[in-house]
Amino acid sequence: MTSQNPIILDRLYAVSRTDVIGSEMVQVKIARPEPFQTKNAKGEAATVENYELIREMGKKDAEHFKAVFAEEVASKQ
Amino acid sequence: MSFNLLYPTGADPSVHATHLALYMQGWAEGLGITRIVVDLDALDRLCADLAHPDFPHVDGEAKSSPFKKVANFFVWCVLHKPITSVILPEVAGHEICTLPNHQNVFFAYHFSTLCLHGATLNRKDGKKVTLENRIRISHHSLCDLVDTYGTVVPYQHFKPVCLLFEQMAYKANPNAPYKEVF
Repeated sequence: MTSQNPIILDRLYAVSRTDVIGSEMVQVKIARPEPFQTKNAKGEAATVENYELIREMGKKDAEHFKAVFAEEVASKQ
Repeated sequence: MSFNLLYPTGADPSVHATHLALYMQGWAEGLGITRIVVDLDALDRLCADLAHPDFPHVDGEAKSSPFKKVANFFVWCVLHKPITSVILPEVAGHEICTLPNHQNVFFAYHFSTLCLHGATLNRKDGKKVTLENRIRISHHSLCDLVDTYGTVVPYQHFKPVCLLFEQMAYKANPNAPYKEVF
């Protein structure tokens, strides 16, 4: 899994991490998240255990806006 | 499905924040943003406020309308500003990117409209109406919305935002509102 934001990945997969916030060292302990409960297309309960799916959902949802913004930017040039 | 990300039943706020952070990461990638910075503490505060028992509806979040659910998310998201990095003008244009807090208002708008798409309204006349069509607004209106709601006071703006989403949803779904007589 590649990421442009390693802090988020730490949050997801690390049991504990040491994070640098400004000049302070902050020890953060975070439990692995529980499986994400959702529903499939039929409305049946399903469990998404792969968090990559949530990220992919966000990516897919934003693609429309990427195209619309690209048109807007191009129209102003 | 999106409402599950906003109001996950019984989820710990930090777990909830993790899900939203991951969604934001994907959202940024989908927009073509090469770098997004999310303030996890702000996200924790947002999720804690979403999980707060004093949801602004007499019967609580579970029985509230989808408009109230998204308005509640919208105002707290804009207030807590979980996304700290700006969207660059080459991605979204100069006009919107110069507005304060544009990244969080736009994310809140995006997620709210996503939640409303396909949501069911349990009307007081007993009818159930599904919002089949997604809300779409012009670039001009989006800039106005971002400009208007860059700063919010949740308890003051909750109802106006709720009304705004309700009317935008009704515009996209003309079969959804009560009989319009005024």
